[in-house]
Parts: sequence; structure tokens; C-alpha cells
Amino acid sequence: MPSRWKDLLPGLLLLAMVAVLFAVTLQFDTVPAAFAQGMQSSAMPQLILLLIAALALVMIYQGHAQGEEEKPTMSWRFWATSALLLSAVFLFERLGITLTTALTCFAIPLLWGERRITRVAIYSIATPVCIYLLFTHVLQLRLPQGVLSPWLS
Amino acid sequence: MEPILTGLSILADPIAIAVILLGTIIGVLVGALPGLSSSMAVALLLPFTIYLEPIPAISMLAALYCAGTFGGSITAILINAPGAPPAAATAFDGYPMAQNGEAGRALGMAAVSSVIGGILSLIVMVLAAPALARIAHSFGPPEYFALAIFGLSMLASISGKSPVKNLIGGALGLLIATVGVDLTTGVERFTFGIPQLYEGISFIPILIGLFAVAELLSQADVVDRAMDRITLKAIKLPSRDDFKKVWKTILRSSGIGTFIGILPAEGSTMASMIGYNEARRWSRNGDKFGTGEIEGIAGPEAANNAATGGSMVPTLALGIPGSATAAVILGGLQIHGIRPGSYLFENQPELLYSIFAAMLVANLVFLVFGLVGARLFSRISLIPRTFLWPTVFALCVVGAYGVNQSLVDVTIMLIAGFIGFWLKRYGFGAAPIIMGVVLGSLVENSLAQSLIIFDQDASRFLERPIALGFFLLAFLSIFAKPLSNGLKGLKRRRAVNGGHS
Repeated sequence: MPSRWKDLLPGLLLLAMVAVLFAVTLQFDTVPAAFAQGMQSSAMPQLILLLIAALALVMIYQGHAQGEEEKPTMSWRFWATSALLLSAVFLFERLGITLTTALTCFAIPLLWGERRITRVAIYSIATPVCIYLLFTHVLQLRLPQGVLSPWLS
Repeated sequence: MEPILTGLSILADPIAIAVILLGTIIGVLVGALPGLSSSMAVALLLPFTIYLEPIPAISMLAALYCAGTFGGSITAILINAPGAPPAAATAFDGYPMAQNGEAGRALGMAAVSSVIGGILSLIVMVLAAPALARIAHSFGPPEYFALAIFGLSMLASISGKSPVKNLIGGALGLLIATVGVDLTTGVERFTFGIPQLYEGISFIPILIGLFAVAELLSQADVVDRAMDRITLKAIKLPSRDDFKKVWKTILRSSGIGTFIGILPAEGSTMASMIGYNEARRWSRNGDKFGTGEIEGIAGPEAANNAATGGSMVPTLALGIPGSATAAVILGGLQIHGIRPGSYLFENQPELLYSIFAAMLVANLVFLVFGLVGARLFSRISLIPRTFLWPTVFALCVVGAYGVNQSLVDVTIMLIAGFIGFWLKRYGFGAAPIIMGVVLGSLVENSLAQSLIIFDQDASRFLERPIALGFFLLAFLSIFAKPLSNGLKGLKRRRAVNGGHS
């Protein structure tokens, strides 16, 4: 349900982020003034964080008494795609980029409603193979191949 | 003369010509695809330019920038779905013309106006950039700090719903730029013990994440809609009568576009909207705009392409990006070890002329493509998004990995993508964050150096007239609109009170 105070949630999240990161900056090492050349290393981040806090307060104030805009609903497709991309992060190291890309190229079209399974299968093999050939053999970029390392190098 | 000839000699280099043509084709294709923008395409292509020499690499990106801006008009006219935001104004009159059976005439006008606007702005670029760089030669750290603040303050006025959100985006970008070991003091900042962050967060994964992965996540819930596709028989070059009608509009919009492009942060989208509005204001047929008026195409198209050349002026001369895509190109310059500003024109003056040649070729090539291949390019939008976006994701992964050959960069890209998606959902754009990241080191270093010069007394900024001028401009760009609104409200209240008494 849309809130009655526009931008309250992002504003509060920004303020919380500022508070946490400002606390982190207090833990930064300090160096003698002669080495700091004008500014300690914590000065700039603190300045920026204070600026963000001030702007967040302005944003919250501006949103006062304004209804939150209706946002597009997020269906299970969004959450499933997000989960797929997050799991890809863990798979890249084990399965390698080519195989993980093949899996995402197979899964995303199906998640997004594609029902022509043969096309999806051909596409999910052809795309990573083309990328592998282009980058490994033409551009000489070594992609991590994980379990396929013995065969693809 | 020698730098000019050396720069233009890029046109005799087959590899350079090939990459410029490739950049142009990719640009038109990407521009024609709704959802993919030229900023995203430049971001995706940037990692692969590392394998090229700096001049062909930057020329390719510049060519893509020009062509991408034009490409959006094809789908705007034929299917009422602007491929990119700068083409949105073109759809207002382009699609009604296409519905009236004049798609070929509309596309012909779009192509020719774009080319004229683009070439005129390139002439301004090649004359103004060195002049501006010469002026900037006398700038010290205080002036550069004030200039960077002015550049960031302009985020308040770029297209977007909320100036405050744009400024927050810029500040977040500045914060991202502070991550890593501070080179002056050797102190770790926000590294959280992760060794891969000691050198800071790489620019490219952030760029790809914010532009491409965030859009991919948005596309997950997009419902496919059947576009009412207009059949295109043949493209027509503008007739003499059409030219008589629009030449003033084209020249005016080229001037507007170039000027808007030169302003830091302001890009093609704002230029095309102003170009359209001014075309309507000055036209005898202003009341017919929106129903298929040819000037309604010439105005925004000349303006949005003129903004490309204009935006390269501050990017090359000052290191302050003139638009979101120019910010990405600026990142490309930095990755290739090219330092924009007066040093660039002293040490590598030929680069300016190479970029000029590349953008000129791109303009001429997309004129040919626009006239000959529009039917083909309009079919690009038939690619199902279910196949398009997984391919984009695969390219994102390889692009993010390729720069440092590190999977941590791929993770950073994905995190940036998720953050970008949520920020976008709440009205924060990616472009201000990128501007902040690009300008981060300039802001911090110039402030630190200024404080040394001023013996830690920040009030001495006021003793530097140029810096003071930039601070005043920054103040105006942030507060001019609220102040003017406040004054109008005050006048209104006085008028109401006067009426009562």
C-alpha cells in the first residue's frame, strides 16, 4: 500500500546508511598533519556523508504530506530473476563463466515466459559458445572455466 | 597543422575505420532497441576497447554515442517506442506522420536533421574545446574544485523528477570514489578488510551494473505488448519545400543542442525537449504540433545530435562530463591513461581531431544507414526481450570480468545492479551516480591541494575570482528554480492580499 509520506523510506534508509558509514569513518587511521597534506583521509567521506544526510532530510521534508507514487508491482518473475543472478555469483567460480552463462541463458527466457524450449536450448548453447570463441580466441581474454577447465582453456 | 593531419590520419587506418563503423552500427542498433541506451552501450563496450590503441578506442565510443542518439528515432517514428530517451520528443510528431503514411518522409527528415545538427556541433567542438582548454590552463586546484562543484550542481537541473535525488546520486558517486587506500595518507577507507577493494572500486563494474543490470531487473516484469508497427515502403530525402520549412528550425535547434551539450551534465534528452518546444514556439503551425508536423521532427533531432558534439567540449577541455554518456567516455579516457584538460591539448592534440573525424564519419555513416537500412533497423525491436536480456547479461559478466580479470568485479557489478534497480524504483537515476564517481578524485584532490595553498583557510576560496564565479553558478543552478518559485508565490500572495484589501 502506498505510504502517505513520499520518499520517507528511502530517506530513512539513507540516514541510516550515513550513520553507519560515519561511524566507520571514525575508525579510520589518522596520520600526522604533515603527511595528511591538507586533509585527513576521513575528512572527505565525512563531508560527503554529511551532505547526503542534509539532502536526505530535504528530500524527506519535500515529500511531507505527499502520497507515495504508485510503483509497478514486482511479480515472482523479478524475485526469481534476482535469485538466479545472485546464485550466478556463487556459480561463476565453480562452474566457470561459460557454463554459468549457459545456465542463465537457459533459465531467464523460461522464467520470463518463453515456451519454445528448443529455441531456448539452442540459444543457451550458442550464446556462451560465441562469447567463449570471441573472447578467448579472438580477444585472447582468459575466462575462468571452472569445471570445464580441462576442456576449455 | 600537424596535429590536425595526424588526427585525421585515423581515416586512413583500416582498423580505426573498421572500429568506427562497428561503433556506428552497434550505436544505431542499440539506439533502436527500447530499453538499451547509448550510455549503456558505451558502458558495455568500454571494457573491450582496452584491447585497442587509445585513439581508435575513444573514436569508437564517440561514434557509438552519435549513432546511438540517432538510432532511437527509428523506432520512435515507426512503432511509437523511442529506442532511447533523447528520441522521445521525436515520437510526438514522427509517429502521427507514420500513421498518416509518411514514415519515409519522417525518417528522412530525422536522419538529415540529425546529421546537420551533429556536424554543426562538431565544428563548435573542434573550435571551442582547445579555446576552453587554453582558458583552463590558468586554472589551479581551487578553480578545478569550484568547477567540479559547478558540474555536480548541474545535476540539480538535469532531466529527472527530483533535483534533490539527482544531487544525492552525485554525492553517492563521490562516496563510492573514496573507497580504497587513500593514496596520500595510505589509510584504508571502506575496504572492510577485502584486499580487492584496496585499489578502490573499479569504475566499469559500477557502470555496467547501474546501467545494464538494473535495467535487466526492470525488464523482468515488463509485459510484452504488441506494437502497432507501421509498414515502411521507402525513405524519402526531405524535399525542397520541406527544407524551406525547417532550415531555420534545424539551425536554431543545432545551436540549442550544442549549448545544452556544453553545459556540464546536461545531455541529449533535455536538448531534444527544448529543441521540440522551441520549434513549436517559433513555428507558424505550432498548434498542429503533435499531429504530424515535420518541424516537430527536425527540432528535437537536430538538437539531440548537436548535444553529442557539445557535450564533448567540457569533457575533453576540462574533464567535466557534458552528459551521462560523455561521463562514460571520460571514464574510458582515464582507463586509457589519457588526461583530459589543457595537458591533453598540449601532449596529444591529435586526439581531438581523431574524435572529430570519428564523429563526422559516424554522422555520415548513420545518414546512409538511416536512409537505406531503417526498415532493417526497425525490425531489431522484434528481437524478443526473453533472448535479448540474457545476452546483455552474458556481455555484462564478461565486460566486468575482463578489465581486471577478477570475479570480485563481477560481484561488484551485480551489487551495483541491485542497488541501481532499487534506487531507480525510488526515482534516483544512474547518471548522477556515474558523474559523482567520475569526478570523485578531482573533487577530493583539488580540495586537498587548495587547502594546502590556502593554509587550511577555506574562506580564501573567495579571493579567487574564477572559483568564486563557479561557486555562484553552482549556487544559481541549485537555488535558481526554488528562489524563482518562492518569488512567484510571494507575488501571487501579494496580489491576492491586494485584491482583498
